[in-house]
Amino acid sequence: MENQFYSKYYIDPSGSRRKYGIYCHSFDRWLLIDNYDVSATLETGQLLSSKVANIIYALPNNILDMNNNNCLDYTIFDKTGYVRGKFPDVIKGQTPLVKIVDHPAQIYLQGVPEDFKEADALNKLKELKQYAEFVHNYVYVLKFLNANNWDDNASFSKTILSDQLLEGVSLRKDRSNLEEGLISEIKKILYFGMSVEESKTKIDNLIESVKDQIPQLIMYHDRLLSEI
Amino acid sequence: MNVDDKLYFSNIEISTNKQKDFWNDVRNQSSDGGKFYIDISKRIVPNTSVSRCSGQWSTPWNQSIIPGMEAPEYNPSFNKLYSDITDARALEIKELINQGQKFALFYSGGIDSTLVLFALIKNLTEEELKSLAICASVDSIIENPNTWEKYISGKFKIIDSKKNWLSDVILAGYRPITSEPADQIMGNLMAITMYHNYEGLIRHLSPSVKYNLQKIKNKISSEDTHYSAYKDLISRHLAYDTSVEGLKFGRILYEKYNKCIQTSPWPTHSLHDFFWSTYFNLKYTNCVIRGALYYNTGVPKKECLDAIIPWFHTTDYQQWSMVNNNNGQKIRNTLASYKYASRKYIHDFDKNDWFFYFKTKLESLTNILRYDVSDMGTNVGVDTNFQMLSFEDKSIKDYFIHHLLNYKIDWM
Repeated sequence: MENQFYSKYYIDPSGSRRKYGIYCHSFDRWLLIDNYDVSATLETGQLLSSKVANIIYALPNNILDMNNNNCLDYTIFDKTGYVRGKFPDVIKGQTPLVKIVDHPAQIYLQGVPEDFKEADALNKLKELKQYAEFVHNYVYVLKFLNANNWDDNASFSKTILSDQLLEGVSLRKDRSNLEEGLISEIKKILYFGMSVEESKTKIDNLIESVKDQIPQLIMYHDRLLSEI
Repeated sequence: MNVDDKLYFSNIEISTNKQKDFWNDVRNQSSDGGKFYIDISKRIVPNTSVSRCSGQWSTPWNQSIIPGMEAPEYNPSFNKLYSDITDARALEIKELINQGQKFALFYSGGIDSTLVLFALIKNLTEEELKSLAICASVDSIIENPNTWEKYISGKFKIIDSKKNWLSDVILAGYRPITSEPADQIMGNLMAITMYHNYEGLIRHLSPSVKYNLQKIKNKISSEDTHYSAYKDLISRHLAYDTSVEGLKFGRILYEKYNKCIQTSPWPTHSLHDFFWSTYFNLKYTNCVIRGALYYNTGVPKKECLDAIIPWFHTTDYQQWSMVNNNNGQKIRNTLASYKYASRKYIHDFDKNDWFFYFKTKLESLTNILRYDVSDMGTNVGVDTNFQMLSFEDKSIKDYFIHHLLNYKIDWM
């Protein structure tokens, strides 16, 4: 099945599979590069938007030497066309959209951002990078956990069926006593979290509190966490 | 309306089809100068510029300064701290609360309204804070969720800004507190968008100009690098498009701003000063009065204007703004440090490093003010009685045609 419209988000102009990047206006650099999944990268961007406004770009595959380890040193060359309505992206919207960079020359090495050269600021930037990787990893865990959560009859039905049709029947995200289910609760922790350590502790406590209610889901969660 | 009548405020905006039809018709009947003045609205949306000091900014029609909008005298020895000015402003609200008044803070989640929120929480008692409501939307929460969760949720009465006009809030007994005119105190969005796309803008310039601009890229707020060194870049940024006419327009607008700056009473050195100086003078009035004019359906305009507290519209904030250029208080090098003094005040209160280092300035007026483009569509200003002027009135259309036909580019 070939469709030019949506293949452009997956295949770059040279015919290679695309990569995806989270770009932050605040420090004008790439925060994270993903090799697999635009929707996972978007979700990571959304969860990070509590801390930093960002945009997801579908990238050409041959982006010189930029990778997830050094992307904090790289920027976008010309931001002229990136707008939301009449406003440039940089001043409109806290949450990310998905856009496309087609030409590798649009991405270039610029080094440490000017306002982050002092030690405290640079350390905070590194901490943000660390948090972004922690969240991104968890997004994949939660995606596959959700994809294999056979007890979730709420997510799909709430999207498809009207409130009127659902009146009188009970729905659940999983078999725990968490109102929004384990996956949503973990996402909230990631969104509001102030550090990797704080979020890890809160997630561990959450899991501890429901491990007897949803043992199989927790087991799968642990397995995914160790494998991804 | 007579051709000699004065305006308090003029507004050229070309967003709706009705506005396009009107202004295109007027433009066809205008001089080159008149055409230029209308075209400003293609880049500075809306074109509401008016000088409030000796800085020369000719308008096609007679325009006078709204009482209270005059820029205070430049005082180079002004030395109050930003944090002290902010605390003092909160204490003014405290006093009014103790006189029985109620307030609604229009909270967007951005830097300015977060500063106001924290100043009030810091300086008012729990009892006094009961007289403060928060007017906001879900966009406000998304823009700054941690502050909402920690300091607002469950602690204040919430007024949904998507369902209520600013005037509804007044009619419910509250005096609105807005975070206007914060960008005029610190710089403006035109500056931010230019710094952010510096490389993208200079790539079109000649190699020698480009070379020179690359050397001064990190000098945007440096007193020893005069803004005129960036003339080609600024002109390019001010162009309404990349056509020959669009680029020429950018150069003419630069010269018009330059003349205004050269005749303004305060010093203007750096690139950031250039944008600050023009907007501190020319866009200030618009930001202070736009709430009363455009987001108000049920209260007479002047009454509404008097009811609103534009937080940053004080003599002290303006004096502070005039003497705190190029010292890192407004910006350091990039947009990450824009509104540094406000970031610092906020951080001193809540210690949120993420917000301090990574929050960017967003256009967030729509987070907090309900508006309807169709209602705003025919307005072209207010007269000196605060009566709104609609272009559907023939005498008003004739007024604009007359003045735009006679307007000349006289600053080059």
